[in-house]
Amino acid sequence: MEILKTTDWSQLIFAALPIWLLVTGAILILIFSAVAKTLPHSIYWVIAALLALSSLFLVGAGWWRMEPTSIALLSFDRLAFCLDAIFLIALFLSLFFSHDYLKERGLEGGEYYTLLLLTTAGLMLIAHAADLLILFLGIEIASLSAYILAGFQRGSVRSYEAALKYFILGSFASGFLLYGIALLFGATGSTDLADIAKISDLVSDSEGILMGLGSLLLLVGVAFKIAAVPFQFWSPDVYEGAPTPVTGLMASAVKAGGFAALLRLVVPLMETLQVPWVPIFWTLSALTMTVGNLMALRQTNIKRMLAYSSIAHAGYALVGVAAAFQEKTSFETTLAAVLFYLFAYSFMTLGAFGVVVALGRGSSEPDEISEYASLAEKRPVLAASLTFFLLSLIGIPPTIGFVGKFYLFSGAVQAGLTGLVVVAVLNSAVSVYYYLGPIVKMYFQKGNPLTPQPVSKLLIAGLVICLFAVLYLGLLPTSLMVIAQESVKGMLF
Amino acid sequence: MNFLDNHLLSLLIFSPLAGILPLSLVSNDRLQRSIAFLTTLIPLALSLRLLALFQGTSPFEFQEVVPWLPLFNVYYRLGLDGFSLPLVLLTTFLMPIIFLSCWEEPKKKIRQFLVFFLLLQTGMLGVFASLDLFLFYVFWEAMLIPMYFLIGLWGGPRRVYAALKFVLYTMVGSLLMLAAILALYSLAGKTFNLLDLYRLGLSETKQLLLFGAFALAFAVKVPLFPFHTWLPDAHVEAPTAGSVILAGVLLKMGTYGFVRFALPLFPQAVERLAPLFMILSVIGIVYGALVSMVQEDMKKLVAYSSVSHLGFVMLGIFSLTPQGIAGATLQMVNHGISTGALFLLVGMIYERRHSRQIADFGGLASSMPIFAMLFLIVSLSSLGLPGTNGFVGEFLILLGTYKVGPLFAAIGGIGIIFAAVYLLWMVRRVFFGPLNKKENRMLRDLTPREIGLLLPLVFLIFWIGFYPGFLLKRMDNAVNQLLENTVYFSHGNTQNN
Repeated sequence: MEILKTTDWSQLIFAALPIWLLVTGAILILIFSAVAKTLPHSIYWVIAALLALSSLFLVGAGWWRMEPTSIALLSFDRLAFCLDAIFLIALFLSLFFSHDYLKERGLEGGEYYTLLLLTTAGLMLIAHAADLLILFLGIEIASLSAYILAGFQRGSVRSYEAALKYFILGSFASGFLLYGIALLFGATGSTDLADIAKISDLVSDSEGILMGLGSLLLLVGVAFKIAAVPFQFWSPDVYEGAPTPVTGLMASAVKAGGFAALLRLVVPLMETLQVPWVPIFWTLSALTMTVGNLMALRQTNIKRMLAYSSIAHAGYALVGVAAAFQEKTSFETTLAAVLFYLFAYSFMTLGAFGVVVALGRGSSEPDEISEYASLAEKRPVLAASLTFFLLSLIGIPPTIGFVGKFYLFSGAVQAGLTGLVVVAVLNSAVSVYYYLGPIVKMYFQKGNPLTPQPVSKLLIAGLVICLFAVLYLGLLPTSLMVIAQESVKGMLF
Repeated sequence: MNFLDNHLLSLLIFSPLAGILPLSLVSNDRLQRSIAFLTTLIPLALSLRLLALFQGTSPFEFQEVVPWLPLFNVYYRLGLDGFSLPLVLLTTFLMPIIFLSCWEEPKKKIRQFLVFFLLLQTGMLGVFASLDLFLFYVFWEAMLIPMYFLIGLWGGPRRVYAALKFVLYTMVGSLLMLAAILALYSLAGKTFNLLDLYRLGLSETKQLLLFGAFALAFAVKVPLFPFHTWLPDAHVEAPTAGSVILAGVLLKMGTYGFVRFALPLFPQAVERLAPLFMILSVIGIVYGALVSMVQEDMKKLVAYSSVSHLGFVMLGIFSLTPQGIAGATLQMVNHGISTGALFLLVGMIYERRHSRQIADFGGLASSMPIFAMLFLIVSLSSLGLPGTNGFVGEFLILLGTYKVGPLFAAIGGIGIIFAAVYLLWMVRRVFFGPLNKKENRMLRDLTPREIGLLLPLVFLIFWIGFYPGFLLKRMDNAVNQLLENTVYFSHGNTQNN
């Protein structure tokens, strides 16, 4: 292949160092855990955490340097680095929640960390993809690792079921993606996203139809990944069955990865194709949040409730995508709103799952919301933290959830999508009901309280980070907003 | 002193939070209550300073402006005028009384209870002082949560249901208001500054749509018939202190919202819809009164009477006359004092007897004479006896209403008669007649503490009753400004149109 000869490999290796770090780290951990069976579990944890941190540092430096370059199949722009940051923060926080969780359930071992690091590396590839094949590769690396992670709870039927379901439906999605890529390649003769954007002006009518069809298939594939309605069926079962720290990672990083794919794919295609993007996103968004919220109302299991709520939140984020496509003049600010929301959602949902992890004991996890009764008396701090995360998910000021929603909805209003905003606002009102459910249980109802279990310091540290982010960025969100805005500058070409 | 005076409003709003740290350090129950009580004296003192410095001439005084979210033109912008000042005073005045009233109750989780109240006070003061729509919305929403917990944690047997209903009703309203705020922001060229938004001339269709969203949020909070169904539940289930703050201040957020936001921002829509709102108001007046009449439970009676009384306030506002609006603002304060006092009194009897059923009492005047006297005074002020605060407010409201719709004024007048019926009837059944229940014979009369916390309220009842000019004078400018801003109002300047 031509491209392999012309690529400046040393430059690529340097630029992609954050990804390399994770991949090499993952492989090293795997080898170590196979060879040295007596190594304590914590060592892998430390290695993984250090890698995540240094990678995050490099990503930050890359963002700061501000030299948008495209090397071969990868592009290194601020958007990619900003998305990287979301994945890495989510990885870092999941690590905090994982350590003792694994120990208590006898799941220690390097493989877990290998898979976590690989998932994140895959997601980062998506964010940096300048080519459809890299995009696909990233999605597959992330997905395959996530499939295994979902089934990581050895001996749990639910966990196996989650993995299997995730795998089968995820493979379908991959099929759609691949088919879409093939059609796009057939129409334009290229898999390079920038090329496709350029060529698509020149294609004939029949090729245009082919391109439109290909884009729609790609959209279906991505909709599967972000669990948008009507492609959401897998997510509650998978979220419920997967080990809770993994669920947290899925809800935050993997979902953000889906949005990364969406941004990378659709933005170059939007100008040129005869696809009615706005009505599609409008409908997708309205359906996603409504179905997610209505289903969440009926859940008695907190992980399933959070899973459906995560579907709903994908719907809110899609409001921003629809708005960005509707109004080109405010394209950048609305897209920045989506980015900000991905940050916000990651913090609050990881926090919520973190509390669920903290309440777990042994192999039987208290996932039923009814088991949270009178938790406020036994565990006042945990109960208060969960309350803050849930209030933020509702969007009550002064939390990051409020600012995020405000940012999204105000963009949509300015783009003239008032109808969609009203749908979203009514949905938020519906969500109040089920988010208050656990709060009612914890504070207002007497019950058989969970036996207090010591909560590990690492987990507390993770929760403190989430709590700080939720409250601090709720009061003073400007810096993060500036970062998000800078990241999407120059996206529209 | 200069720094203090320049940041008087900010200090006022956040001073209740100063009590939270000391509260979390001490564990003694009594000490905690004292700390909370002493903390609320700070905002009281600051608000009295505001009152002393208040000129009543410029549109908004004590303004503070600090950029908050520069990307969105969100400013931390505060200011006070003749509408907000009385309500700020009402809030700072009621809080120490509320803390005095809960010296014995509740017994459990007292620290959280006090902290939630302090948070609530910050939220309420913030709502009244905000001149930036974003800031206003933040305070407005942030207030919900402490109130939710206050009802849900310390309320009566059906507290969880009542708390949830309270939050859901309010949220549906206020989220639609959020959408309207965003729309307003984008129509006005990205500003949340209320003073700029006042000058925004919108087309009538847009006004009607946006007004609809704002009005829904405020009408739920007021509560205007038919959005009132959450109120009896919340009132009855809330602990005494919660009911007092709910009736005393929280309901005023709705009526204040109409005066501060809905009317001046959407004058044409208001003019178009005023008859509808007046009809709903009088329905509320009569309906609330009729339902009060048949209540067996004293607290429920007082709760439903609020629906009726706030109908008066709404009637005054939507009469769009200077008298009506001034009367409505005065009546907001009056209702806070009188109904707050009634809830306190009902709470005191409940503490002693653990019943609020009117049928359980009778002839109480002979065993609790002081209590009976105070109860009678407060009831009389609530029904608007001349010489008490309620009379002045209702009189002005009916005067203003009469100018634009004599029929509405007439129905409102019937409402006053109904109020006399249900209040006096309750007083007669509870306090007079033979003392024939032996449980009631041994009831202890009010303690000095209880008398002490009621006396300031009684003083205000008569002071406003005899000298309403003190408050009315300070409202004058704001009322005129409001009517001037909303040039479309037909009354008084029909010849111009």
